[in-house]
This record gives sequence, structure tokens and C-alpha cells, in this order.
Amino acid sequence: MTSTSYLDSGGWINTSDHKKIGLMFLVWTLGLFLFGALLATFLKLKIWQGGVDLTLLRQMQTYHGVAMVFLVVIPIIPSVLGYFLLPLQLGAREMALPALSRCSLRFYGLGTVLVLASLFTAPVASGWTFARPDLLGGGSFVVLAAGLALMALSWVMTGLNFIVTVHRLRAPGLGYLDLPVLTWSLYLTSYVLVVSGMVFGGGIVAVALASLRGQALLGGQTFPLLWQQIFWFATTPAAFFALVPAAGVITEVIAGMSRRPVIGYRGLVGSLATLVVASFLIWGVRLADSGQGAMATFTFAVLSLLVVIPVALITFSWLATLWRGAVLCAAPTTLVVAFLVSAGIGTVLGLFLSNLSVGRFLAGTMFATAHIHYVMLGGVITALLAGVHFWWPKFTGRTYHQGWARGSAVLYLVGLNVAFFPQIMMGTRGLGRGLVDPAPGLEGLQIISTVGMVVLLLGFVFMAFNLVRSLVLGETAAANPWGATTLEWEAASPPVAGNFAVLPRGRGPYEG
Amino acid sequence: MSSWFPPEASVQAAAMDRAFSGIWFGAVLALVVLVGLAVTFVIQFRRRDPSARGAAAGPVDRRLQVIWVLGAMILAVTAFAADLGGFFGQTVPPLGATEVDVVARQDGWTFHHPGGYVADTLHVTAGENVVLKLRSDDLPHSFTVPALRINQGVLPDRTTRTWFMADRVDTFAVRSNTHGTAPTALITHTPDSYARWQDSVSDLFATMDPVEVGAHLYLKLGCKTCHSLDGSRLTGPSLQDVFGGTFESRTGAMNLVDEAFVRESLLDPAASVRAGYEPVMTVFAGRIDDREIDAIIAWLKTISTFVESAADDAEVEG
Ligand code: HEC
Repeated sequence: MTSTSYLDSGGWINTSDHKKIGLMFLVWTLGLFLFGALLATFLKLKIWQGGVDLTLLRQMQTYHGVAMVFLVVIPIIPSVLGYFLLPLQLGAREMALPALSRCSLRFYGLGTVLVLASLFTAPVASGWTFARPDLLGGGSFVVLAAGLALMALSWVMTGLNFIVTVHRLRAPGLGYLDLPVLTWSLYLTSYVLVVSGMVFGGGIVAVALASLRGQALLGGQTFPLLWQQIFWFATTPAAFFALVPAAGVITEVIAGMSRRPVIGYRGLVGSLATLVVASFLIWGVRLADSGQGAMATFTFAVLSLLVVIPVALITFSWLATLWRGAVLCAAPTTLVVAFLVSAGIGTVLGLFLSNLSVGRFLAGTMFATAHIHYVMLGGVITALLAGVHFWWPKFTGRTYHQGWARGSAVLYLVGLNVAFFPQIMMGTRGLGRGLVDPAPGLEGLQIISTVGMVVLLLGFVFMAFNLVRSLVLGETAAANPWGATTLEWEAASPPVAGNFAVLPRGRGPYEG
Repeated sequence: MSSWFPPEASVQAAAMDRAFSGIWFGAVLALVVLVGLAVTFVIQFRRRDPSARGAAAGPVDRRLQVIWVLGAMILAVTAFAADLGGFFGQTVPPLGATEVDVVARQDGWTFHHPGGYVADTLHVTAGENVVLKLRSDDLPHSFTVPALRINQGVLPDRTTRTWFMADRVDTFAVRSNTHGTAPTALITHTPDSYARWQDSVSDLFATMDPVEVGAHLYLKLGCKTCHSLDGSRLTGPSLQDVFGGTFESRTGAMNLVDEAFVRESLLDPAASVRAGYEPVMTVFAGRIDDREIDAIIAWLKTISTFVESAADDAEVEG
């Protein structure tokens, strides 16, 4: 067992090998990402064409949002990079609860099947926040809700599994303050997955039951914002602060590519923890224009200012690590820059939205849509792509074509900004966030944005193609191609079935 | 940044756009510094020799770190503070402003203007302070006017407020951020054109038939607050199935609700009070003319099962 690659030992269907689970999540989530992206491109083209049925647009928009947020952005980094790398970074042979890994994958698979199945009966048109109970689409909403509840359970299982693994399976000598930053970020995010998963899962079931009883609003007329509060309480940490594990990924890539220990390690870890706590306190920022009281809006806005300090500390560490590093200019580095640009824009757009009067106006517009895309796509997905390119040699034992990878990363970054920067301006011009408003005078921006979407998609497809191509044509990769220092690089590329021939001993973070 | 926003139509809009520009400046500065430094370092410290290593871990330069964090904090807090005035200004309406009660529904809006003028669009005079008291009859909505930079949530079962002073005569689109809510419009007038608009609304009969006017008066005169239309009891009895029915009064007399009785109920409600109710109905004498009373009667007939057919209507009206 110790000498053959994990890829060649055992089957896939019933496996509980954390590496295979991670890879299957990669294929599954990226497939859904492509589905969501195609829906969005289609939607854009339809709007451009004009004169289309509003309900159809709303349905496409709903499924785009649901697929992207719940099936992709929230689970993707923990499920793909987390499952694959957590035991490796800890110097362990497996997750603490392998059966639960498998179960989480299956719940995820079943959940996505149900969500997609609801498309074929009476697609829900309520928007991805399910804020319009009148548009829930009857029976098919129950199917969709069941799918999302399974999905939420899958997050909970992943979270529990990670927490137990970090507690129990650290290599001898690997203390908490020796853990790589990615492991820390996954560990912290696990608590978010557990809490948000339970709250969101419970909430969506309650909405489904209420809609079955014909109740128009969860909480009725007395608590008209109940559902929206539950929703944003759960999704603010899980979806917007999916930037926490994203920051973990970016930290590893920066440290690995510049062959330098992370500077300001403790401050960085403390900042990630602060962000996780803060993320549970600021859901009401999203409700600024919902009619909640002025005092509440004010309090949430002040609390959200707290986010600035950890974000500053994190970026400081990144810059300090690059400075006097030996930075290898390869695809992961390009994607780190892409992340800094787009997650940076996403973060400052968030600052606008948590400002009081400016934010309340912009919250109802495409500005908020642009913010969501810069954070979730520009931040979370870009970080995932950086991570996939960084660890690809570890995943597969192959090296991909650098020129192709960097070229498509640039295409992706350009497309992303051409697609979403115009949305910022459509927002300030007052175009409603529903996307589907007629937009007199904004046709130019719409066209630019649509072209951007196509470029973005091309960049993504080229990137994926290049990676797949490497499986056949790529050269064999070294165990540690970048010269990085964390424990996963001690394993072979690809790792053997039990990860390490000889279990490594723990050491300080990034000492190698 | 004028091309970024729709033309400003209020003092508040101008203030908000200034705050936006300030934040924008700070945001661009922060981003340029961050990305600029990162790219510079990547190029300056690129790995020239494949076996090169970065400098060993050193202590963090605390001074630089503090400057960086403080810089970010100062930018964020300044932006927040610059915008605070706008928020308080928006939250606290000026004294003596004109109040308009607004009711939102999926299928349309009802604006109760001062003086009892009810319309499905909002009419105000340019240059006057207007407070909106908003409420929803069904689901949450929002009252959003980009030109005024107003975006206020509207909820069932509670009243939310916002205010504005439009500074020019125009027609502005009003939308809701929620899907499916009917759009409406805000029309700003000169004092003259406002008066002309009032005249045109008060002559309801010019555009509606009597039954429609009756239904409209039910909303406009506030009958709705005391009388339901679905049989349920509020302060007063439901107006469903009243006309043509016979009910006991407090004194024990049995009253047939016919034209004369409705007329009396409106002009002198205390004359005969239905058993089980308090004599609290508003006296409408002086607030309502004959033609309007006839319209209410015509409408009451349409919602009563005691009234058999249109033939009866013709006979009674003759
Ligand atoms: C402040 C509450 C209130 C308002 C406003 C009000 N009513 Fe009434 N109304 C009552 C109450 C209480 C009664 C029952 C006691 C009575 O007969 O005076 C009543 C009785 C009536 C009756 C007689 C029913 C019966 O069987 O005795 C009619 C008809 C009526 N209202 C019509 C109207 C119309 C039309 C309006 C609007 C133009 C209106 N009401 C506005 C409270 C109100």
C-alpha cells in the first residue's frame, strides 16, 4: 500500500480516501460552476435580445444564484482543497472520520440532483434568497428545499470532520501554532459550516413547510423579515466570508511561490479568527434597505467596520512575505495577483455597502450584484483556481503548460473585470439589482458586460482544458516543484495511498 | 462623477453623490497601493535562480504594520463619517413636512395625500418637504427612486418612514427592489399644477362610474379602518352583506338598511346604532355630498347578497 500512487489503488465509487473525495468534489463543483456560468451567459444574452418572458428570466436567475452560492462558493474550498490537503498538511494518513467524508460527498451529490430536478417541474422564480414566497413554485420548491437541506447537512459533516481531524490527527510535534495558515482557515471555517449549515438547513425546511401550508411569509405579517434574517445570518459567514478559506489558500500560495515563511503568522491567524467571529455579527448590513430600524442599520454598519483591521493585517502579511522573497513567476502567482485585484475590489465595494446612506441606496441596485460577484467569483473562485494550479502537481503528479495557464489566467481576470465593472456603474445609475429591469441608456454597459462574460468563460475553459491536457501530455512532477515548506510537499506527487511512506514529524510553521 | 449617477433631483442626492466620490477616491487609493506593491514585489524579488530561497523569517516590522493598519482604518472611518450626516438627515424628517400615507401591494400603490386625495401615483410640490409613511398590505416591498437616491423598505404590519424634497418639476420612476411589485411614479408639481391635479382627482366622476367611485371612497374616506369587506368584525360591522339586510339596533328596533338608512348612517351615525357596537363612527356630514353618498350606496349593493339583481338597482335609483 505504501508504494503505489493513490490514483492507482482501489476504486472511486465507495472510496473514503480523502484525496479521491477531494478530486471528486473538484470535478463535481467545477461542473456545477460551468452550469451556473452558462445559465448566466444565457441570461445576459436573453436580456440583450430583449422582450423575453420575465418569469423565465427570474427562473434562470434563481438557479444561477442557487447553484453558484450554495453548490459552489460555500462548499468549494473546504470540499476540494480541504479534503485533499488537510490530512496531508497535518502529516496524517486519513481524515479522522473517513466514513463521514464519503457521506458528505454523497449528500452533496444527492442534494445537487434534487436541486437540478426541481428545474424540470415548475422552476422556482423567487430569487436565490427566496425572498418572494409568492414565487416559490409550489411542489418543486419542496424538492429544491430538500436538496438544499441535504447540501447543508453535507457542510455540517465536512465541518465536523475537519474539526475532529485537526484536534486528533496532528503529527507528533505539530502544535496549533505550527499549523499552516490554510489548515487554520479550514479549521475556523469548519465552525461556520456547522453553524451556518444547521441554521440554513433548518430555515429552508421551515420555509418549505410554511409554503406547503400555504403560509405566505415565514414569520407571517408580524415578523416579515424573519426569513431574511435567518438567511443572511447563515449566508454572510458561509458565502461572503468564504473569503476566509480563500485567504488561507492565497497565503499558502504566496509562501510557497516566494519560498519564504509567512511573515506575521500569529497576526494572520488571529485575523482570520476575528473575521469568522465578526461575520456572524453583521448580517443586518444586508438588510439596510429592507425596512429594518435605523438603530439596527447603524449598529450593523459600525460592527462591519471591525472587519477593516483583520483585512489590513492579512494584506500586510502577504506583502511582507513577498518582500524579500524569491518569487517564482508561474501560474499560481498570476492568479494571486488576479485575486488581489478582484477580491480587493470586492472588499472595497463591501465598504460602500456598509456605509449608511450611500450603502442603503446602492444595496437595491446592480452595485450589490457587482459586489457579490467580485467577492464570490473574483475572490473565492480565483483563490480556488490559484490553489488548484499550486497543488495540481500534488493532486495528479503532472505539470501543466505554464504559458497556457498564465495566458488563460490573464484572460480570466480581464473577462471578470469587463463583465462586472460595468455592473458597478449600472448600479450607481440606479438599475435595480434584479438584473432584469429594462435599462434605457445602459445598453452600452450591458453589451460590454456580456462580452466580458464570454471572455471570462473562455479563460476558464482554456484553464480547465490545459489542466486536463496535462493528465495526458504533462511531464511528471517532482514531489516539491515550487520549493514549498509545508508537510504536504513531503509526500510524493501524487501521494501514495496512505499519504506518507514514513509519517513526518511536526515542525514550526513554514520551517523546512 | 456626474455620468455615474442619474441627474440629482434633491439636496440629499447631491450630498450622497459627494460622499460616494469621497469613498471612491479612498477605495481607488487603497487598491492601487495594495496591488501596486504586490506587483512591484513580485517583479523585484522574482526567483532568478531556481534554487534561490527567500529571506529567512524575521520579526515583523511593527512600525510599518501599525502604519498600514491605521491607514486602512483612517480611510474606512473617514468614509463612514463622511456619509453619516446623510444617514441622520435621511432618518430624521424635518418638522412641519407634508405627510403622505403610502400603502404598497403587489398589484399597485395607494398614496393618501393630505386633504384626502387618494391616487395610485405620488404627487407633491417641488421644493416642499414630504414625509412618506409607508406600509405594506401583503409582502415586503421597497420604495425606490434613483433620482432622489431613496431606497426605503416597506413592510407589512409596521410603518417605515422616509422623506425628501424634490428640487424640480418632473416625473420620476418609482420601483421596488422586490420582484413582481407594480411600478409607480412620483410627479412633482408647481403649486399651480398641484392645485389643478387636486381638482382633477376630486372630480372622481369624470373618470369612474358610481360603483368605482364608491369603492374608491371606501379607501379614501377611511371607512376601511373600521369596516372590513370580508365579513370580519372591526370597530364597525363588515360592509359585506349589509345593504338590504335587517339588523337590530341598540334600542331593539329592527332596521332595514336601505338608501335612507345608509344616508342617515353617514350623516348622523348616532341616530341609530347597531346592537353590539359603540357609537363611534365618524360623522361624515359636511365631508361628503349627495352624489358621493349615492356612489357609496351603489357600491354597497354590489357587495351584498341581499341585493338580487341589476333590475333592483334600476328601480331603486329611479
Ligand atoms: C371610526 C370608525 C368608523 C369609520 C371611519 C366608519 N364607520 Fe361606519 N360604522 C362604525 C361603527 C362602530 C358602526 C356601528 C355602530 C353604528 O351603527 O353607528 C358603523 C356603522 C355603519 C353603517 C351601518 C351598519 C348597520 O347595520 O348599522 C354603515 C352603512 C356604515 N357604518 C358605513 C360607513 C361608511 C360608508 C364609512 C366611510 C365613509 C364608514 N362607515 C366609516 C364605525 C366607523
